[in-house]
Amino acid sequence: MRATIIAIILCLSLLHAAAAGDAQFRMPEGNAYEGTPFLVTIEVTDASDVKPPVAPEIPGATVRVVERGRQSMTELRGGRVRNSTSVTYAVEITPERVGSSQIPALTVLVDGKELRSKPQRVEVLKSEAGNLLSAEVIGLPAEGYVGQPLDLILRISVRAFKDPSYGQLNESQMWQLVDLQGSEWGEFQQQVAELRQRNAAPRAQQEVRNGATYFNYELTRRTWPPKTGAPDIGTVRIRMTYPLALREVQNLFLDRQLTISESRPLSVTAKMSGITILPLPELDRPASFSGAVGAFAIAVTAKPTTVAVGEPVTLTLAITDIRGGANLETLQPPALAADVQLAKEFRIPNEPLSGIVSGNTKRFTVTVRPLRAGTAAIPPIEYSAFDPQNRAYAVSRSQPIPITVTPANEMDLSKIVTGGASTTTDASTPGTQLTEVQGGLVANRPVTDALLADERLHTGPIELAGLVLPPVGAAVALAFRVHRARHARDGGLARRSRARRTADARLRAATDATGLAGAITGFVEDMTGRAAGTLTRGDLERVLATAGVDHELRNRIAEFLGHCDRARYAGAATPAELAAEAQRAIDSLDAARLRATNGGTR
Amino acid sequence: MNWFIKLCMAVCVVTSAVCATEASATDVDRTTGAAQRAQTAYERGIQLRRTDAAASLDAFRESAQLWERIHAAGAENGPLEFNLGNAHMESGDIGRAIAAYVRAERFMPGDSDLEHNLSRARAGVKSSFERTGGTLLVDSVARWWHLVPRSVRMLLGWLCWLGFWGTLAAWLIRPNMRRGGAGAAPGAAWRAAIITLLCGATLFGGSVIVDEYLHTSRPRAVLVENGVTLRKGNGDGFEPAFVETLGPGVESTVIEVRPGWLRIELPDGRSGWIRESQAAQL
Repeated sequence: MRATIIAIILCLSLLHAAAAGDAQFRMPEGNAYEGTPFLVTIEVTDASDVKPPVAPEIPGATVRVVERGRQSMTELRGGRVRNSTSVTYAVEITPERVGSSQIPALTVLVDGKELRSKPQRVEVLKSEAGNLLSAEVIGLPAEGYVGQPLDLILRISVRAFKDPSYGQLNESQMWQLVDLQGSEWGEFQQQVAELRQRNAAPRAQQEVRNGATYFNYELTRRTWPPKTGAPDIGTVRIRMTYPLALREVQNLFLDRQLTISESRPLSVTAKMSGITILPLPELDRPASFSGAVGAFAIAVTAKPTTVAVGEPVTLTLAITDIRGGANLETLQPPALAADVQLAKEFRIPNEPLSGIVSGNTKRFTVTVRPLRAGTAAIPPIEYSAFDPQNRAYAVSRSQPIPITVTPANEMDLSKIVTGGASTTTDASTPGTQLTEVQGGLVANRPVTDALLADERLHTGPIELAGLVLPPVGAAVALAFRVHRARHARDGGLARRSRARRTADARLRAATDATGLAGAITGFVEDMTGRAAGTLTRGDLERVLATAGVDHELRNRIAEFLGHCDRARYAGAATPAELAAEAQRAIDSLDAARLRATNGGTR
Repeated sequence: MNWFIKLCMAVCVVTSAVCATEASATDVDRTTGAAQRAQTAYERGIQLRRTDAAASLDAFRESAQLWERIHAAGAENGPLEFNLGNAHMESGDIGRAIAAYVRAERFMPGDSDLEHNLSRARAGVKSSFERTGGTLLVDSVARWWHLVPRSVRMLLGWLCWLGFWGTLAAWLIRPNMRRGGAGAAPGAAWRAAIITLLCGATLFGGSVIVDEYLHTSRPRAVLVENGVTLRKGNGDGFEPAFVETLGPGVESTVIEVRPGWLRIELPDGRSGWIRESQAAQL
């Protein structure tokens, strides 16, 4: 017995042990390379509750924890439902410096139990990518001015791998070994994303250096540096898997393919070489300069050209980039307010203008208003820009536009010329477009009886009556309808209903014994549905018996009718006792609730 | 038939008596005068705004007090709350203004003037919280019936309710009995009228009832004081729930009431206790 108990306990313990979660730590083998991440994989299995590992602090390395996969399972074991989860975590460690580095014990909390890995020392080697992989960012032109278009070119140079058995890999195959996702691309992120989307390789040039073939991949990004000094390109770090040996394998379709049998990771940070951004010179800077860099021409059109003082004239200013390459999206309009000639003759809005880019031209629209009659022309509007090719400011002027300005008739200039900037809003002239003034409250509602109403949902007597009475009324109507229908179906029913009232009336009207007897027999006829005047004294006993009247009452009725006969033949007046007896008899018959007999109609 | 007519007459007499009792309980004349005075004070405030700011503010406050008195006298409807909100807004009491506008929303949802003024008031609230959760389905459905003002819906609901039962009763007691007894089916016209009225009563009356239920099941409150500290419990001895204090106009839901204290939930789901006097309950 004792041995059995011990065996059961042992089995239970084993089962419990089997049910507890476990974790396996896969540490990296071999050496690591500077700037190239390596992984420590943690596989947690059969756990009910898992807390992810915390990224440890490792001097000279960056660490992050990524959950790689999770699988949940529900099983029925020994009649009990048990949920378990398996999770795989990857601790990604990127060494930033060469030397020996200690990976501390990694801890994962599984089912409330701390599971630890063993600390491990890793030798971080310098990624000797110098002759295999290099990257640099060059500028075209190498020296430029603020706002001048600058092409940043990321040049990645990869030494073509040549296998003694299978030959040299081409530029497309070598590009596929670049880790596009794991690399950092800085300002070139968009270009790489487009390549990934198209599953394409960048433009490459082949170059032979010291007897080795190199593929030079180039990614170009145009920028317009906003400040002096070296342009900011962010961190550009290229990572790739460089092959050391190849082998040939067959796939499912028996096609022979080359795969990498041995490789090493490479990582290199792109260096920026010799790009200088100069400030725009202060010397000879025109007053109308608004920051444009390049070669531009300005053309102005006006509409209408015959107006009264204060009326709007729409100017369209077209700024054309002659050489191309300028960033028209950020191109500023001419500084009209600084144009003395224009400001002398026209009221110019202060609001900033927004333009529309079309091809190499950006168009701005502005509404000006002549200040005085007799103005003959819209003066030339100048647009100045810094020309980096000539390293000097250049001014372009539009042609003067003849215009006729007549005196205003009844216009209040002070009211009209406060108007807006561009094409859309004109506060002075009525039109279909109105600009809503923000803020302010809408006025009060007028004082009416509606202001004094109580619109809350009440449950007072009126509401209660309104809710209850209509159904009650409908129920009464239903009862009425049922009642009427019954009467319609059963012709004797109405007669039975009226029988008592009719009998009482007959009693009151009776002046002799015959009348009293008639009241009794009439009541029985009404109640039993027999035709009026058809019930004889002899039939009465049988009818009453059939109608369920008891023997005693039947005798009383028979006796009463006998008295009536005798009184009728005696010719005497009706005694009061006889009338009282008739009333009692009818009361008793009414109380007996006569049933309709077969001889009646229902 | 006589007894049925007598019954109907008795019902009419009882109903009339109840109505007469209710009517006499409302002092309409007094509140009409107050409404006129409140409106006059408001208009005076508008006139003085550019010339005498202090007097204008006093006029707006007086207007707000008068509207409040009308409200306290038992009147509660959209236009009244709208005017009260305007008076509070002009007098700088943004919290009470929002409270009044939100109350007005119950009676005239979808009113563009009200939406404009309410959004203007809300724009002046310094603390804003992202709304989380919410009863999306109810809100979406309610948006449809909110196209019709509550008073109209209530009136239509009553008319449909009375019409439904009246039509049903008329059908039941109609003289044409050719088709037989009580169980006879109504004709197409009768059936259409009865079903239409029943649907109308359900839709219009039901929407008002649902509105009322939502209002009572999710009571709301608007902060009316400046520098309100949300606490972790219903007493000044409790620690503040948040470092920052809240300003007037912050809207919340009341989730618990204890003597003198309210536990409110902010639109982003966080909650805390405030003194009852610091909020206007809707």
